[in-house]
Amino acid sequence: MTTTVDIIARTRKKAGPRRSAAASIGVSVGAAALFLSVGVALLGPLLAPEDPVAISGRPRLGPSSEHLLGTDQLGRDLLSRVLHGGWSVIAVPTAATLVAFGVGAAIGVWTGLAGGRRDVVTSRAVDVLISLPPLLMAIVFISAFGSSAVVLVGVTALFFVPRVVRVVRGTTAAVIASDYVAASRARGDSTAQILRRDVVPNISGQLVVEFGARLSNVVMFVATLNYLGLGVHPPQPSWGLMVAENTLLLRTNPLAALVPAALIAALAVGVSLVSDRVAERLAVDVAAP
Amino acid sequence: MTVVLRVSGLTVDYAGPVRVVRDVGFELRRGRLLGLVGESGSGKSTAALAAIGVTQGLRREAGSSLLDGTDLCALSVGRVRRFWGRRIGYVPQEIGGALHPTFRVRTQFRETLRLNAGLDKRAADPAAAELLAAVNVPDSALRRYPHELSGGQLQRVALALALAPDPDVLVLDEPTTGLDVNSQQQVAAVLRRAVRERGVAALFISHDLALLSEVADDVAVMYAGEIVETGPVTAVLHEPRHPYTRALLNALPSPLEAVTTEGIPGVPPGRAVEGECGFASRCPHVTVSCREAVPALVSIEDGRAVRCVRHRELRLTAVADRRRASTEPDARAVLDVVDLTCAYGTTTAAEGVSLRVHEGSVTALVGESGSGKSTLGRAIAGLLRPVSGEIRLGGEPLPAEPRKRTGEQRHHIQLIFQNPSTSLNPRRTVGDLLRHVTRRFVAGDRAAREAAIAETLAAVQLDPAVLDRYPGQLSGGQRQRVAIAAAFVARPRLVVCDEITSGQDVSVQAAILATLADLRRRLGTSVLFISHDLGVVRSIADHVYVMRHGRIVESGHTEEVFGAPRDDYTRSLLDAVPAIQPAVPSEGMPPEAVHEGSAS
Repeated sequence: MTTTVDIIARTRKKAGPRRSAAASIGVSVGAAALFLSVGVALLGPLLAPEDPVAISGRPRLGPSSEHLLGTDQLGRDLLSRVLHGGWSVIAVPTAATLVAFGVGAAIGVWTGLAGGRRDVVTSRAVDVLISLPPLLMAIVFISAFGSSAVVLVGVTALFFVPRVVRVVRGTTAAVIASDYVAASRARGDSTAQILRRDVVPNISGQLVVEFGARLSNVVMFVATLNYLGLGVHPPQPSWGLMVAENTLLLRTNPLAALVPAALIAALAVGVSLVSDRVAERLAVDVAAP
Repeated sequence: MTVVLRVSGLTVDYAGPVRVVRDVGFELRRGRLLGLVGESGSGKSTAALAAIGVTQGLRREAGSSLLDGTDLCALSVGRVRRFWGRRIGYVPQEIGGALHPTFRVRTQFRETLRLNAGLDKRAADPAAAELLAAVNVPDSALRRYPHELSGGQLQRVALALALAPDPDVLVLDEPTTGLDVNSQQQVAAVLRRAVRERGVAALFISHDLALLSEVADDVAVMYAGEIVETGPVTAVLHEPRHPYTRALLNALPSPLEAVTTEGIPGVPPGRAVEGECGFASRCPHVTVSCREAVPALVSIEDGRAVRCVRHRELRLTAVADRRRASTEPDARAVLDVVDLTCAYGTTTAAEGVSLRVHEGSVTALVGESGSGKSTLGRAIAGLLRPVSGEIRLGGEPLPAEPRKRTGEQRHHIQLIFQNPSTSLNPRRTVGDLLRHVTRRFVAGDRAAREAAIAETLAAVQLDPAVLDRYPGQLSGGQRQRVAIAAAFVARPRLVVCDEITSGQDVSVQAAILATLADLRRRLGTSVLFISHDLGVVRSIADHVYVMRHGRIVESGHTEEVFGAPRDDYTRSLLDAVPAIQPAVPSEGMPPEAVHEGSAS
């Protein structure tokens, strides 16, 4: 009997290598991109040669040994601004995604578990909220409440909560409809037990995937807000804002806008590729609803 | 009878050292149907597909498959594709995937007739209508989309589509699996007629020996990637010469008589075994010589061949008495269902159903899919609130609202689901599940609970090592044993089994039925056995209730109902279910002259 089990276990593992060649390149690229962008954001402030907001040279200098990336319109050192400017692009999205997930997953599980009227009402409300244009609404909220980090996190989370609810509700409902939950119910398990034993272990993989996908969305969203000048206060540097500030330098010193843009892209792509790999390891079918 | 496709010495591997098909040879003749039978993992589908040149992901090591002198295995995909459709028809198992969901049936006929027979629209439509008539589908089906047809109709439409370009060879991969007995019988009848009238050479892949006994002319039995026995179907099934064929027959329940079924110990290897007979490890007649080399396929009389070194000495007759001892049921009822009506929303699934399960008995609830039998099972198990009526456990009425059942009441009614792949939580180990169940239902301390688990695992023949495994690491048969263990570890008074053997191989099914019968005998547990398989029901049940459209149409002792059905519907079910007819004793071999295993 043991031998069969072993054979089956082995054959299941065998299915892996076929995909892993492409997947391992993906995850290496993703990990490198993530490492680079997060590293720059976290360690950058320690390495910056100049004060990012102080004027340290003539404006609009090209790259030189003194200013590796050159200077901006006002003569601030661009390298120092890049090294300082990642913090808000990392911290705000991470906090916002965590908040969105805390709230969204709770509501999603709560609706998915219940079904019936509660489910219908929540799902339709979610449909309405998702149809609102996030960027426009964010601008409205930020202009009303100011643009502190807390408001930025709150506003961003607010827009991603319904999206998380939708996914978590679907996954939970699928688990709730399964025979093993029916078996637990027939046994007389309480809702708390069903949640703990059946629902959470079976949706957690999906949640991780969703977290990764949302985080990369949120990074882009926050970077966009920054680009529009929302959420950061000049002269404080931020990659998103720097792309906007340095658009005019694109002809003379393209690195000024491209380096922060590339770092944002590296962050978003890195998060996405790494979370795909994590999903694969957790054997989550990403295509499943 | 001309040979159309001649396969010889076909050996196939997955581009590695493991051979999945070895030395397979067969001939398909015009107007005849060859059945290819074996358990899952025997290589039957791989062999059949390789024979028609489908070698994706496979490597042909040796052998050929000749269609009019062309070796299909040697052709590139581009070249062999010209044979598919036109000269080789194929009907797959999953019919849903074979028909395009967004095209009407008519469009699909037009396409295949244009591509494979060169007919334009005007010529194609009458041809399609004619083909549909040949498979007993009204031509109004031409206007329909696949989802608007029933499973049996779809399967016949697929058959007509495969037959449309008038192919020489037709390959059918388990084409009736998942169909009701009545639909299955219709498909089989239509197929038989089409093969005879059109002179097609057909290959029918199946795991169902009883069905093959009714549709096939010849049969080839596969095991571990090899053909172990082949010959005319009646000869092979009535007088098997290979121990594996005998074992398959012993595992097969019959709707014609109450027989016990016997599982085959061990598991199939799922690949060709090197250096010895592939069946040696499971064979009751194994000797030293079986372990010395791979036996050759030896021709014997009547166009038969067998791959067994002991085929001359062994006489493999049926077990002397497989007849099931009938049990005298206890008069006391453990479960009484009184005038129960159940509904899903506005659809009534069961109406005014009354039934009784006697203490210690197996009571079967039989019906086709959609008859409401599973709904009834769920209501009894407390998963569904009945609209009206009453359920009594040991004479005590259960509360109408299932959530108000006491722990004691839940304890004594356990439910086993049809599909263990969905009824076991994939993220919980077997041990975790069983410990959870025992914490709830088994009195005593931790040691007592562990003892109950160990005892139950032994009773369902599972190794204690499975406790640390996840369901995904177990085979289908093992998973169902886990589900059975989870129900019986509570020592309930009643276990409701909802189609627990459907989708399992006959050998696994026989083993599960034996385990169930053993547990019931040992623990005195009563069983409500929900099934559509009349053979299985006859082999295990004491009482039978036949259900149709949500109502009980007939009930009684199993032998009475099967022996002399009073209701027309019961009779039609019994007529439709395939069964191997008892052999007409031949002069050459008087039945009393043979005994199992006796060497001559």
